[in-house]
Amino acid sequence: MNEVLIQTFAATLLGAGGLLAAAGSLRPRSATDRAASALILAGWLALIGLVAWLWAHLGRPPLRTLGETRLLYAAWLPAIALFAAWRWRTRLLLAPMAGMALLFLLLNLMRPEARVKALMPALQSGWFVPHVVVYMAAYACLGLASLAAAVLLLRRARGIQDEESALALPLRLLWLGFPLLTAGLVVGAFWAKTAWGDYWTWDPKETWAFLSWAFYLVPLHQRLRAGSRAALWLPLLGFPIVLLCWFGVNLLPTAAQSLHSYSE
Amino acid sequence: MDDRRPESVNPNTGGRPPGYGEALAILSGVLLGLLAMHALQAPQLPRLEPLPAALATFLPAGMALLAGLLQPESRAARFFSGLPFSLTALGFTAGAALLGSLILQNPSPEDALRLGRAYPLLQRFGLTDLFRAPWFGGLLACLILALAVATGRRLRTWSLRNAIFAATHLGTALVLTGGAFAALASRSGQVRILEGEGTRTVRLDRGGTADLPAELRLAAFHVEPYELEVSLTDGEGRRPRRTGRPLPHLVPGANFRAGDWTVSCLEAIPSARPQLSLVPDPAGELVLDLRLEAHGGAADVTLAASMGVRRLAGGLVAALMEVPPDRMPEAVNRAREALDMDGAPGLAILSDGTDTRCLIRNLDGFTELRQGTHAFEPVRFGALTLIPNRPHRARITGTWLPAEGRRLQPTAAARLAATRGTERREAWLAAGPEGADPLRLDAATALLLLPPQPKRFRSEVFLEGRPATIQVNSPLRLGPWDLVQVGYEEGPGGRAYTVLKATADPSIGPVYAGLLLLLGGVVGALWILPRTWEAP
Repeated sequence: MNEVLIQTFAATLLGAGGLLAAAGSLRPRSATDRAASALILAGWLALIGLVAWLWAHLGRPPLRTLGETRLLYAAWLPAIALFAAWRWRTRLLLAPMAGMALLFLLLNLMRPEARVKALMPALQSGWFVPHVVVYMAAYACLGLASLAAAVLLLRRARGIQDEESALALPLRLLWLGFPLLTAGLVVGAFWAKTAWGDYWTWDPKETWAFLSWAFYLVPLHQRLRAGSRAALWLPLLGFPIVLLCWFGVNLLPTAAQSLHSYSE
Repeated sequence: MDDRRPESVNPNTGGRPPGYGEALAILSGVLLGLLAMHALQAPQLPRLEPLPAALATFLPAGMALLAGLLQPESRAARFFSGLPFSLTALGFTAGAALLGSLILQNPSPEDALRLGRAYPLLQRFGLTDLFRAPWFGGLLACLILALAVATGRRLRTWSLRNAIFAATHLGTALVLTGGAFAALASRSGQVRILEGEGTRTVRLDRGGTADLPAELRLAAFHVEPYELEVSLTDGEGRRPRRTGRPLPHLVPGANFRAGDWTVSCLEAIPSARPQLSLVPDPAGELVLDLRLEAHGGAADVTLAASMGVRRLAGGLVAALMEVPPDRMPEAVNRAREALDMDGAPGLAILSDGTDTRCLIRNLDGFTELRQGTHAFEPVRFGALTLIPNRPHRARITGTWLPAEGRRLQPTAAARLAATRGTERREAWLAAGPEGADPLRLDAATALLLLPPQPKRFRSEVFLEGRPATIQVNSPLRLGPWDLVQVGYEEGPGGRAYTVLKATADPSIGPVYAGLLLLLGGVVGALWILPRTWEAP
């Protein structure tokens, strides 16, 4: 068993599923649709298997480095996209989701990391897994909301009229992801108090977590109508702020002052 | 397509309620006024006792909530609880926070110098300690005002929707008000205790000291290191290479593949604290025993004059020299030049049979130890400590040869053997706080020892005669203080200093309650309540 092989296998399944989903969008509820869902489900299971395999070989949760969080993010994407397809009866997101997952998996393949088994004492906490898992789930929901908004805007620009279930998708994913984002913030505060002595220190990472959370308060309070310009543009613009919090903080001049630097 | 519900007209007061323009004007005025006051007076946040601090924070917030409850339709209540004021206040706060994440906060003197002429300007407006600046507190106060009034207005009428609204907004207001309370009333600082000693002193972050309710005595400090790990990299030792599966820990006997090579670990020292022991050799040759002691591991290295210069773990070079009689001063100078030229930490032992000198070059300069002239003191090479413990007398042979190498402050080392066909390479790898030198196997393959890390460290303390343990993620409560294990340092005589962070924060109850209310409210609002704006 080889980490690269498993990841490549999962990426192949997701890619094939995404292509079939794109083809199946021309003929809904066909065998192509079902095959697409099956392949995406298999790809998701392969990614879950990879996370479990890494956990067993590293002897710690594989949630410490940027690459490991990218893997977890890629593992959440198919689950949430399949849930959205089942719950809200729209398959709009399956093909683009596969593309996004492939992008993150490709990033991992292009930027290999040293697989360090050591986990610093501050991360040896019962809060570690819930904090990161919930945050990655939130990021996946918000990332898919942004992706759905982008797809809908592109389709609108081409004159395609989408169904109500598709138009409501960005907002629905926001409402799914925002409580998870809040939970990640709250769990982080409880953990910080026991690990560092303070529940909030305006650390650059914490500040950007607050900024990304605060941004999503805007569409939340606006009571937007599904499919409106604001209902599409606000989710679209939110995810770059999330990406800045996730990756960009490490590039700031203040990054050295961050207690979250163990993510590198 | 209209994005929002139509604006409402207040039947009580008539006219259009204040909008974003008015909110922007008011908040800009408040912010500019506070910034101007800060520039003129540079105020500091006062330190208050808990009761006055609570009155200064929770009382105004409570009054704002009551105002919303009792006068919900007043112009002020509608304005302060309305979206224009709330979202504008949020925007201002977010903008300030964004600035705080881009500008170095509480910069060191070196960083301040690097900021150049910008530093006095930034400091004047409180931008270098932004999150503790009163004007930032003013922005948070505007947010608290909006949340409290909005909560009060919703509490007039019971419904599930209003209750969930109140939970989210009251929760957020509690968190922010608790934060303000903590800024005024909390104390935090550091407690540093040497093994075997006790203290009641907390060195406060804001200057001065405070006393713990009882003496805290550090009976013992334990550090458990991780086993060593190595990383496979490109030939320059810079970029990691894929390995297919994580490499095993470096323990003697461990084997793994690195590209075309098979690598075996021969010795591993997770954390190096050597003791230098000079012993007489029965054959009359000077033998130097260097013992590298680890927390849980050790390795012995023996030097003999016939070995010439040896490179020990982490680039430490060592050599024994026989010196002709009466040529000791010249030999010492030559050895000193050779060690200086090499640049690496090293030691040279010179003897003419009666006079023996130990010349040690550490990173700060030279130390010369002479038999019988004074007690041998421990000498530090970064994280290595050499503790000579016995004088000796012997005749030695050998010559001094300068060696090549770079400086390191090693704290861990491993000896690896790599084979590829008939090729065999054997070398020590070392790593420390300043990094590590890679072992280059070929143009595409190198091995890099990863910096050693502690797996666990804990303080075994006595508190009022009772034993207790403080370790990371497991703080100790002592009166109003929470003691959190944050680090440790090496102290004299092989003992350790434990470093604890002490915080006394009376706001923790309201903040935790606020966080739980906020989370519950958000889940209720978005996952439980039916949404009324779905249809386009």
